[in-house]
Amino acid sequence: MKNLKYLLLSLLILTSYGCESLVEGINENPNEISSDNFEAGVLLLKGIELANVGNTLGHLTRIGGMWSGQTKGVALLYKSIYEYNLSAEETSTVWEHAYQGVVKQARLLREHTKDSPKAAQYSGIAKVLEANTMGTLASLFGNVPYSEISNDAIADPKFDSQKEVFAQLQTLLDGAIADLAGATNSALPEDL
Amino acid sequence: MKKLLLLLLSFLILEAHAQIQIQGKVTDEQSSPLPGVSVVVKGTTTGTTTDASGNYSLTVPEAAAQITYSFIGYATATEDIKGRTTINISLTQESNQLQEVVVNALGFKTQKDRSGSTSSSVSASAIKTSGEAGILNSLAGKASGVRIARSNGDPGAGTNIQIRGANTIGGSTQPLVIVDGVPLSNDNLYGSGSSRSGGVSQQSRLNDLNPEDVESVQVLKGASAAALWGSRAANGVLVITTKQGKLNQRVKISYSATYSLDEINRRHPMQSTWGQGTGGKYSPTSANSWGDKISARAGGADAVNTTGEYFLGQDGEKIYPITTKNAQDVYVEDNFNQVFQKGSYLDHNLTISGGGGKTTNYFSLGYLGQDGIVKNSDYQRFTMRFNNQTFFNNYINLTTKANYIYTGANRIQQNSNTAGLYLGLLRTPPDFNSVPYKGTYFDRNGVPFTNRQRSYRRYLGNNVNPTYNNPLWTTNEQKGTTTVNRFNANSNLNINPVSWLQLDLRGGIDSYVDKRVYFSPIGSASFTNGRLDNEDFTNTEINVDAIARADFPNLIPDKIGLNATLGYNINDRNRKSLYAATQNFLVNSQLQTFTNGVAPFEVSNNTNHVRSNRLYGILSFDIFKQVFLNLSGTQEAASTIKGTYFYPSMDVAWQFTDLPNLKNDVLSFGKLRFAFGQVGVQPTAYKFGTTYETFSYSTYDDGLDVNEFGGGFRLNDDQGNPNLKPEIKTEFEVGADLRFFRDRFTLGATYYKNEIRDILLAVNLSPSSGYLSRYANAGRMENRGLELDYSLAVVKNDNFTLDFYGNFNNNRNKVLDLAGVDRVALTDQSITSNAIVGKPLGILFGSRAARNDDGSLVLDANGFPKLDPQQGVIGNPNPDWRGGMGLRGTFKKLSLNVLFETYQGGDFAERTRFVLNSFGTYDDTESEVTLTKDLKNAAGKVFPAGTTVRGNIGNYGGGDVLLDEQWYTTLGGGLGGSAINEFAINDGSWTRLREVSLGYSIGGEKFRKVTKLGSIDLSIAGRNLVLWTKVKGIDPEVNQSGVDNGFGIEYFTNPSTRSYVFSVKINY
Repeated sequence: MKNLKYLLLSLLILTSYGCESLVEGINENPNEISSDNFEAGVLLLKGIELANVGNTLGHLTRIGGMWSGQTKGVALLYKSIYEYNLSAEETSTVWEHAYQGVVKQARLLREHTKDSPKAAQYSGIAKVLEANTMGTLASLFGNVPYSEISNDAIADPKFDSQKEVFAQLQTLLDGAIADLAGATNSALPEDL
Repeated sequence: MKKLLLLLLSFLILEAHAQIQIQGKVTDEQSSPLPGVSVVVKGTTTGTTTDASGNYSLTVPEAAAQITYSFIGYATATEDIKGRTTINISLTQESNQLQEVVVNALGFKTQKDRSGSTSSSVSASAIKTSGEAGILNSLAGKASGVRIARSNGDPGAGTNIQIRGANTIGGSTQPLVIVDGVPLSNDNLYGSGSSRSGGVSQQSRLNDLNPEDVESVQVLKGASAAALWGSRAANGVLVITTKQGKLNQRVKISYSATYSLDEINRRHPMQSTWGQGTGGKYSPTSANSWGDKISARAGGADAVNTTGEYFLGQDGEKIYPITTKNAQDVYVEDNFNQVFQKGSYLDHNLTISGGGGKTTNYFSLGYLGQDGIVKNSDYQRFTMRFNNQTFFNNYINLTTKANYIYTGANRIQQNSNTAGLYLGLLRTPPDFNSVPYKGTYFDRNGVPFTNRQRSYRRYLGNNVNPTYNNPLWTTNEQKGTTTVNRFNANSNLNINPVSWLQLDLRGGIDSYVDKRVYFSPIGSASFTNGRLDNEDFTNTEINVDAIARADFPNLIPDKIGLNATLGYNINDRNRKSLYAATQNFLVNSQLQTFTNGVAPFEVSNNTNHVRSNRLYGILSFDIFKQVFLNLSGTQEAASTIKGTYFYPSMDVAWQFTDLPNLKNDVLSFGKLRFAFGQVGVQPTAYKFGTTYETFSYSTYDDGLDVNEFGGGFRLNDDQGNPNLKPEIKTEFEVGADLRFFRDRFTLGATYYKNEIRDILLAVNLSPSSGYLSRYANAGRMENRGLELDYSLAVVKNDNFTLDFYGNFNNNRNKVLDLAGVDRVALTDQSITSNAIVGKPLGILFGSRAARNDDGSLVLDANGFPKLDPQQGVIGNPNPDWRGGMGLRGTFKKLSLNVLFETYQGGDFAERTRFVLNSFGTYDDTESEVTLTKDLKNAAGKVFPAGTTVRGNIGNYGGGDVLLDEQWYTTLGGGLGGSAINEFAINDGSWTRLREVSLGYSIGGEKFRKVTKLGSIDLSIAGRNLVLWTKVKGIDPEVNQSGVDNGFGIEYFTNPSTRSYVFSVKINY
């Protein structure tokens, strides 16, 4: 009987040890770098450039080539697209590359490198890439979201008119010119 | 919970007025001792349990008149004391279902008739006679509300289990598996080396378990039964019990051998009339088979140019450039037979079991070797098990179960994959001979290029890129191996200090290492420079329980009994993976070594560690042995969730036929039940914060991988979320279990309704927000439905029995909320399976035909449908109802079992057929029509009456039109979202003869004397023998994405099988 009491007692002690303390800290991500301690903002540059390259030299360029009579789609998907059967599926990655791959990362790059000695050069490059991508997108699709994008408080940014977007991009480019003019530019190993 | 402890403690202080000592032995009908029998003075709480030898000793008050002996599975006996001091008694086994025993979520036996929640049991014999190599598939069709679907016929392919519909959107839909009270991993990992949409089939880890070792499988369907497992139980629980020896049982040795012959159960019908080419003209390099009519050729050998380049096949065949195609040979059958065969497996099992006075043992060895229906696909499983129970004394016993498993397999590439088997095979024109597939290409200067692949689009092997693999290359040159070494063991220390209390300390470990290799030599489709992937998973799950059970059968004598359980659990799951790949070999070799690779190498490692701990309690009351009430609660904290969560459950069962005068000749037993419970789904690990990741970008088949440009990061496109909660499923069910005509007809009916809140999913965000998705508690979904299980004993006598049995379920699922998101895609191809608000989970979405407001098709000037620029819902793969129906009969020593299964009303996307119509190889495009009037084709070209053209006549509401190459290669067939994929959807209903088995047992006393053997059991069985469905070329049970939440789609998915199984078992 005595043993039993001890057994029950130890069970009680065991269970009253906080459920939560036993599992604390295990969910810290061991696989990916956390945004809390990410410092090397310039490492974002290659990705920005690749996303932009994908958009300007990829699927849409091929489609544009076909629709302007320079190339021909002869088989499978491109045959169908050549005959002007285009579904929304074919353009969604382009939007993802532009907004998530280029603009979001370009603005982060500027933010992360603002105290760097090369801040002005980074900023100029990032602005040019953003303007190039958004200019392409507005040229292709007309009205696109721009003024409210990459803002954590706005889940669904509104569409701006193509004209407004171009105007804002001109301002952005003016900023880029000022940045680059004022910077001591040197070759960047991160720049493709 | 603390109150409960106090209650338990208070019962420790017992008063005893000992006056008479009674002892005795309890045995079963075969005079074997029964340990653990509860021996109680009737009408009191005074009692004890029998020891390992069945002996008991009990001090009873002088006034005591009767003693009751009760043990699960046996009829309770009551003996008058009448002044005796030694009472020996033999208990008789309850054969009727009145005392059917079920194993609960903690692995303890309880009586089914006392449970207020539903569960279905599948017995060891039903598992073995099914003749399936894997335990999961053997459950198909046997329990209502439980859907078991093998993802294809590949040996060892994973099996999808779904209980009462889908219970989560983003998480795993697979139930928790508990073997002997401890979780066993049923992982179905895809990993980095092979994708769901295009790769190889992955295994379900539960199929590692040798079906021979299984005593019973219980499916706990309702939330109330599963609530003890908290956030892991939303998909239900499979409770498996393995075999054990019996005390004082002479050694039993049995050996069994099972041979199965497997063949493809449904083939895609191909055309054999039209040659390779386009526009009715032959071309030996064309992708399509819209060429000339083969029978119209001159015949004889092809005219070839022997002066320049040529291909020298592996067996010396010389292939020269064709200048005029004369040959009329077709190779549809030959090409098929080059890569398909009759598959088979041979399964050996040796078991030894028995027990002495204080120990029981069960030992088994099993080896299964299987060759798939696709050549070079194989599967091997070696298992060894040792189960032991030792009774140290009357108070302490220890059960230890140890199991070692080896599985190895080679898998064949399939699905959306230019290196896949069916993609290459079925796109091959009928007039192309797949042999030779490998050899040396000599260019016009005679320069040799060795080990070249020859495919139908590169019939001279003149390019290292074959575009699509020759199917023989896929089966013979590429490898997709996996080897698994697994060990699981658990121990349960049971302490029985006083008759009413049992303490169980239980620990289990389940650990496996899965080493996978994917190899494509130089010259493979998709991987022109070759590719080697190595991926290793190390998975360990540790589980510890401390459980106290107190039994007060006479809390208020003859009125209320109480059984209380209190337990604590720690569960820790840790998976590490290491992945390395190269896709640039230096030397053309079959060596699977990275030393032959050139940088860049892809290397990654990954850890996934989740821990949870729970405190749980159950109070089970029985009131007048008529009403049974179970209350349970689980308090849980898990590493992936902020805070702790409580999961309550309640169920009540009322055996109303125990009321006076209610039981009669018609109704022999009746039980009403009601249950309520909450269970959860845990979030995926590591979703609290937004991280930085590496990535690649692709717009269409033009991937740019940042690692190939020296490396870099991006802010993850998945936004982190620090406030994750578990998904909570709340379920109500009401039901009745009725038995009529002395239990001859039994009926179980349950209506259930559940709602899952806070469903975790990666919600798509507008890309312009800067993120593509966010993992959040966003969804809400419900399931409701009716479950019926019945059995009817038509004949029941000593020589002859005949039972009909069956089940029915009509689950209705509906997605109620997705936090404002239009659609969450569960799969990723041109037709996707999705979550869409207001629709059932899995709904098919894709490109469709433009329609008018009245639903009719918008037609172009030629009378053909047009592509709607907006995609939409195009089908629902969920069935209206599903069911199983069978009969079981025995005649003397002969036994028969027949089981039909049906799935009615679900849509199925036949994408292979749809795409092959564009390639012109499917038999839909074989026919020739002679027009009786002028018809237009999709391009508006008019074909005058009287012309004979290749194609079909269709009508979309604007009059007859000609469906020819022009239609099938643009909107009416083909790849991507620019064909009208809606037309790939067909009625996917099916009915199949799932199982037929016939067994004969030779045995008896005479036989034993002559042979010294107990018995010999012989059986033959058929699996999947007949399939009735409108789906043309494949078993609609297959699923492109394997064991997945998305379903109802196939795309060059490997086919399914039918099997003939022969088995002999020798029992000593």
